Amino acid sequence: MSGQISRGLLHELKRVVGAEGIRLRPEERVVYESDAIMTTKALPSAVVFPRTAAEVSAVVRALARADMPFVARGAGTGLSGGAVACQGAVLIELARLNRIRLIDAPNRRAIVESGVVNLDLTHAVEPYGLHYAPDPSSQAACTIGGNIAENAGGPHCLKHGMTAQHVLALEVVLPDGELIALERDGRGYDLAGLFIGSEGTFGIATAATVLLTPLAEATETLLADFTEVEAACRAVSAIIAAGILPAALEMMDGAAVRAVEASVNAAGYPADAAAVLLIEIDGPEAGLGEEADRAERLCIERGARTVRRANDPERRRRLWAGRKGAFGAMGRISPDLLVQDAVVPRTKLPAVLAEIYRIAERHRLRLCNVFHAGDGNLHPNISFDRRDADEVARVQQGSKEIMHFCVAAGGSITGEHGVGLDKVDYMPLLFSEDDLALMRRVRDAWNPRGLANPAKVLPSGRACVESRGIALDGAR
Amino acid sequence: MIGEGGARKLQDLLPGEAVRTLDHAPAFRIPGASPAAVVFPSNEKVTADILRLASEERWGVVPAGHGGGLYLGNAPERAQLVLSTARMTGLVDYEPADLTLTARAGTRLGTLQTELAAHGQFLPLDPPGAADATLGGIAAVGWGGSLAGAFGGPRDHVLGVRAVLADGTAIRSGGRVVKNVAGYDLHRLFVGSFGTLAVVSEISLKVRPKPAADRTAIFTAPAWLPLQTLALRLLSNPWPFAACDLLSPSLAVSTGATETPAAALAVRAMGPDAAARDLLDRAAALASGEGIRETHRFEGAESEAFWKGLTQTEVLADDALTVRVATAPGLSSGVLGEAHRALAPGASLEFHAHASAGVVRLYVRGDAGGFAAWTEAVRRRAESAGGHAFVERAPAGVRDRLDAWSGTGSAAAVARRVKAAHDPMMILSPGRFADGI
Repeated sequence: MSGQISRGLLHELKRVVGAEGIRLRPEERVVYESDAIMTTKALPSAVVFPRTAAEVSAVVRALARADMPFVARGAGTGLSGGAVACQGAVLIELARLNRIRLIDAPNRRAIVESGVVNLDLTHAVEPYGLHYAPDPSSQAACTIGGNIAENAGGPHCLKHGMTAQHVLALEVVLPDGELIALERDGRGYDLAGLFIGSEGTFGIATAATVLLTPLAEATETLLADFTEVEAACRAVSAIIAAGILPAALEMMDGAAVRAVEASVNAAGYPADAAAVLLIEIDGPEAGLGEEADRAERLCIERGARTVRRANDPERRRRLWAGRKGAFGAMGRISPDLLVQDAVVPRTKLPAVLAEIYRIAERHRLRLCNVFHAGDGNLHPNISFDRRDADEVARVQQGSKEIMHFCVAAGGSITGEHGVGLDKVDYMPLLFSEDDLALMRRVRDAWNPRGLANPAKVLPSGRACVESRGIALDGAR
Repeated sequence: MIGEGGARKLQDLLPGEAVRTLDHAPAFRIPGASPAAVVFPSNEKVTADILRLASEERWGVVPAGHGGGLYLGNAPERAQLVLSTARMTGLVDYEPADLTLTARAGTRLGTLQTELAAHGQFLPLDPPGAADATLGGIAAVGWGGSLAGAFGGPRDHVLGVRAVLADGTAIRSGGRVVKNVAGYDLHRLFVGSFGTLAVVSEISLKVRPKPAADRTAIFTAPAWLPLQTLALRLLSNPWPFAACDLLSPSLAVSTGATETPAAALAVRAMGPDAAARDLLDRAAALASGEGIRETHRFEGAESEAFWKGLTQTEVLADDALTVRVATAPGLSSGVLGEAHRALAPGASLEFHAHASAGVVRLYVRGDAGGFAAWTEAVRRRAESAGGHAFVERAPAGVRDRLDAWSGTGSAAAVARRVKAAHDPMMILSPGRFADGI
């Protein structure tokens, strides 16, 4: 596979996307050398901007004929290096596929192109009393195509499920350029279900039929603060055990709260709390107040210091802006941030958190936790300065220990950010050689020549050859 | 056929009573095929040994739970063995506070629901034949039931599996936690794969708190169309009904929705008590505005029993044709209309539709000579509506002339390659599935 674009290939690509649809100069390509994780960088051989599914198909066909690898990218908000262009791949930027082709409100579905921004979709269907439920923190920027590649979640997936529960059909360009339709109505294999979460290694989704969810009639948002992290975890378990299924159940520890409150998204979180719980309950108006009262009582019984209710949409919006701005707020603390994405059974949270704090202390890490407490998906955030080699080594060691502990506790290596490049070397913690061999065969069934997003997800002999920068997967 | 050598090797792997001929296990008969034996491995390792042997001998193996789904799909081209997981039962792991569990594939759903209820939880899956069906069988067929529109189907509840491939390799996919994006989600692919990719031995599932109240309202009318229209109007509001099913007059009577034959719409609300009652009152108010009467309201155990009965609406007569159609919910009316219009003189039609999921199950009785033409008409209508029709059950003569499946069109080539990645020698249920798989 060549990292250089031949004149013939260049000519073909320009014919498809137009001269202004391709970026070749190094200073234009460097903008695309990493995604949001920023620890691994690789320069794509070129960046192309197709405008339609047909153009994506033609671009991929041309690249396949030239034996050129490629990687698709939405908004570049990924946190696992999934959109990094390994092996000199051509980066196919899908932002121009941004049409909402159809809104079918009576059937609660819409057909949207991959470049449509997640939150824009919700705004577009709100006039119909609907929204698109999977809501990653990056939803103001991230695209549906990226959500599909990663099987993205978000705080509200506790009640509504992840991207896979909201996709009814996919339009996909295979790595040889063929455009196919994948329906999920039981007429054959759930290939779309398999494609979701395959992180761009099977092909490129150009459009999706998505399921829309009615906006809840009423919402109650509670903010509970605790003087002990463990008490907050116990409150989470108690709420679930009481038969309450909140729409969202988010936790931030004291360090995360203080970062948020010092940032532009300051939301009035109590800065001296050891942990805060953001609980959202929604549904029909009748009986909702009583459900919220029950949740409040459970928090207080488990040691909550105070429980506040956000009674108006503006207050609710601010609380959520604080939560969703948490990662951005870390940027004020240090130049670099490692965002881990681990998931453990909910009941193991207290033990796992306690161990994470011990690991942080042992390695003198600046660490805070923000997470989807309702489903045990935690994001330890470690602030550091990459210019400090000693700190980098401690961060690598600490994050590796955290990952191993979470897996040992019955969890997974990634709850929603994906394996990408970042966690490839952790895959053997979860999967045997036989498991990985099957996954390789399945990938080869879609991507026989290995051109679609090479070096991602599955361990292979080759690294992301062109990469430079700090690899912080910690497993090496 | 299984040769003597192969039969001996099989006996060596299993104790005597774990191998039976079909005469001694009639529940495992497959229309259009004649397996030599049914085997009942008691664990994953024996399952792997059997499959390894089958691969060496090039036998066709059809996985099964307790056999209830074996009649579905096209007749397998090669079927020396039925492999039943009925002896692989029980919970492996269940932590109520995690809202997850792991169980062996042969566990019956009814048994599981009883265990879950003791902890105030349930699994919101109610496909046809639910209570007796095994978890593995429900996953293999992949259909939802009345609750699917509100809660999702089997594929939305499976978190991970352990399975055995045709060559005897044991693999796992997914995990036991509710959020997991590590690796490719083969467990999602296995759901609805009709046992053509692997034999699932263990399934991890997510469960939900059991709602405090369970209430059902029945609305009746002389004709089905106003009820279907009512259903769509109910669904156009942000009212979280658990189910909304349309029943033809005979089925309405046999399920207890009505006492005298009339088309019926059954609307279910599950949740906190006040909310459930309020939801149904709103439904009744909307219905009344359209001149449709609420004739019945069930609560609690009565409501639960009613919907359990709806998982058994199958018309099991040998002479009945059953077709399952899936389209967008708003297009079910067109399908029902065509189903009635295309009926041959003298034929009768009954139906059970899950309005919010867009699934319609059609039962036709009459002269089997007209069945193929009727099926083609309904299938064409479904496909032009962007959906598909699956022939669930047909009398022998008709079965051979119809493809059970509509097919996947442009996805077929990838489907075949994915099948080859799992089962290159076509050991598992060859020819039973769509796209000639």
